[in-house]
Amino acid sequence: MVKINLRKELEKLSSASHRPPLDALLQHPALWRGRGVAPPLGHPSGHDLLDAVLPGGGWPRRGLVEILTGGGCGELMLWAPLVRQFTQGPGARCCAFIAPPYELFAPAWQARGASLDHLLVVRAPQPLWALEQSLLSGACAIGFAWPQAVGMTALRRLALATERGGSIGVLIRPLVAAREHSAAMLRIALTRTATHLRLQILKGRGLAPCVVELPLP
Amino acid sequence: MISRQQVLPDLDLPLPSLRPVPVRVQELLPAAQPESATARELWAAVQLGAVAAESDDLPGEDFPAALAVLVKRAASFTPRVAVESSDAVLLELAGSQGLFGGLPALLAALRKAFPRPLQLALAPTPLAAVVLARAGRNCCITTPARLAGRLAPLSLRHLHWPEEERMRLHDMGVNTLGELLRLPRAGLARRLGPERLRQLDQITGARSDPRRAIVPVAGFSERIEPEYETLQREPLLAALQPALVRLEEFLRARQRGVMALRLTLHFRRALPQFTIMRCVVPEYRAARFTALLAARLESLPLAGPVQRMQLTAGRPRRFAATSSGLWAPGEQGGAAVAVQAAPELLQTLMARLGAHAVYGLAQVDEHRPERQYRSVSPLAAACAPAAHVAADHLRPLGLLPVPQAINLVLDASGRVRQLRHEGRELQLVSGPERIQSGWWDDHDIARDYYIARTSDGAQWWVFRECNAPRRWFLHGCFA
Repeated sequence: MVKINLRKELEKLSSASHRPPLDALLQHPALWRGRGVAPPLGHPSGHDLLDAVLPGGGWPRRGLVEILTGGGCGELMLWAPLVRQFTQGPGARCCAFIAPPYELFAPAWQARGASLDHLLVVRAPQPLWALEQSLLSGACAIGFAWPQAVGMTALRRLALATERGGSIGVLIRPLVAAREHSAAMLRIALTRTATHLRLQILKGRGLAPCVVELPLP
Repeated sequence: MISRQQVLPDLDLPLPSLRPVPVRVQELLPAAQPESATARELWAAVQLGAVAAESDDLPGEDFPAALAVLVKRAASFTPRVAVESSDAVLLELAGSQGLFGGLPALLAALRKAFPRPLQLALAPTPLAAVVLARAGRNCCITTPARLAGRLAPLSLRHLHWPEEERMRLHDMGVNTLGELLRLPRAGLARRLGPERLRQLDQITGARSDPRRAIVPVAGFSERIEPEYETLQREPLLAALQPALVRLEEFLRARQRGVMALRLTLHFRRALPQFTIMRCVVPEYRAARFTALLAARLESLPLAGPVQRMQLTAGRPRRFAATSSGLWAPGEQGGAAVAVQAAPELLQTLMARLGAHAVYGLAQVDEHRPERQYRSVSPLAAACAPAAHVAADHLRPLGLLPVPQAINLVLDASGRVRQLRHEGRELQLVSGPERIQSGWWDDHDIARDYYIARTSDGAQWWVFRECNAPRRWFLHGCFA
């Protein structure tokens, strides 16, 4: 339970911004009204346009995220800023890549600022088991997997594992999976145009389906 | 350097009480047989020779391999075996004479076990035996009275004192042990320090020189029989559980952990099958062993119902115990816990998937893309030099381990009209970037790299060989 000095917060907010103080205060992640959902505080995704849309101003702190894509459309590029954030500094946590369809190209990751000694590659015939272990352990901040078919039970288990381990699970799945139901808290269909990464947000807590276009570097 | 303080790492038992030395009746009568006439202890020194004497310190937790062999062999003569400054093994033999049928028979057996060029010397004090062995005097001195006379002509360098001290003594005109022992004690203590004086006293036997005996670290091996022969994992695991708890007790008592655990499964109709579990850090907790064994057993194909099992632990090792965190992972401050949980995760993954299935990445200073990275043991703090990567060239995050040939659509004249991948046309977006040469290790390349895009937006890193047959390949994925 977080204690908040209401008066101090109100004074701070009213002096700092022109927004009505109560509205501003309700944005605080520790406060919520009976009916509403507390806006979770997210990890900055490194893409300002995306942060503006995602609840909490970034990727969720914990939970299962599905990226639906044809492959090669920048699905890892999207997460590279977060991977850098996790693997750098004294509180660095490792990032697991479970059975990627290619080898991770170390120079490119290093060029994007990720610390290589915190990247972990696992070759597993059952990637979902390895992903669950990684997410559950708390050692991994984020785990990526490329499963072909995932049942609802498996998705629920993975979602539970992210909750318990305080980690983010990222499933990179083909676009056709958009038709299936999912226990993931965030589902994004990702395509790439000549100039933009096009993110179609299919599902997200407190989010209406919408489209975000991120300019490519 | 000879130092009594040198405590061998694996010796964690207290000093052994002095063994009862067979005492003859005469010895009890001081007038008839002075106590000093026959030694109460008889030390044999086996010295490796000049080559091994070079390394003076004990590396890590182990003796040098040659010394370890000698220690093992020495254990058949006496339980009191010690190591002196990594070039000699000491055996206390006073209690063993009776067993071997007298001193001459014992000497013969010793010589047989420690043949030349190993130097062998026996003396009433351990240091004297070592000095005699280093000097190459293969002799047996049983009475302290004769010791000083035999030591006198020996050179001071056999003491392995620091060179500067020896040079100082040389400048004083002292070159042999006899000359050194004749010097006045007070002056000697002032010049060389009381430590050296103490060592000299220990050589002559004027002062006691207790040694810690090497206690061989016992391994852990246990035979387990399940209640009934079974193929199922749960009963097997349940049968293993008590043994694992005993293993934890065994390791806790010694404050050790093991890095490897071997489980041998015996069947009625098939050859025994064994599996080895390796840990990333020394492990001692039964719960972790159970989890690792469960993961391993689950993926292990069994040849039949298991009749009995043999659980063997690897060499017990020291480990730095860490305190566990206050917060569970996921709670406030859970990140600090997570760092400690990483080895556990690796162990679990490795136990089930095998050690090679889990790896980390390191960069190699190379220009050929397929050699710019290598797999390393996971989460090792790799301190590889930052390879040169041109910042202006975009590199894919995923690289195919083997370049994949691209389907070509040729026109009538045989020229490439279209590149196709998975039924989609590849259009070159940028390039070429030439990467070539490597003649020095027979992996010469000459390639023009392009970035290509398919109609659905996927970007690939493709290259064309600069030399005939100028094929096209897919090499990376801009994931």
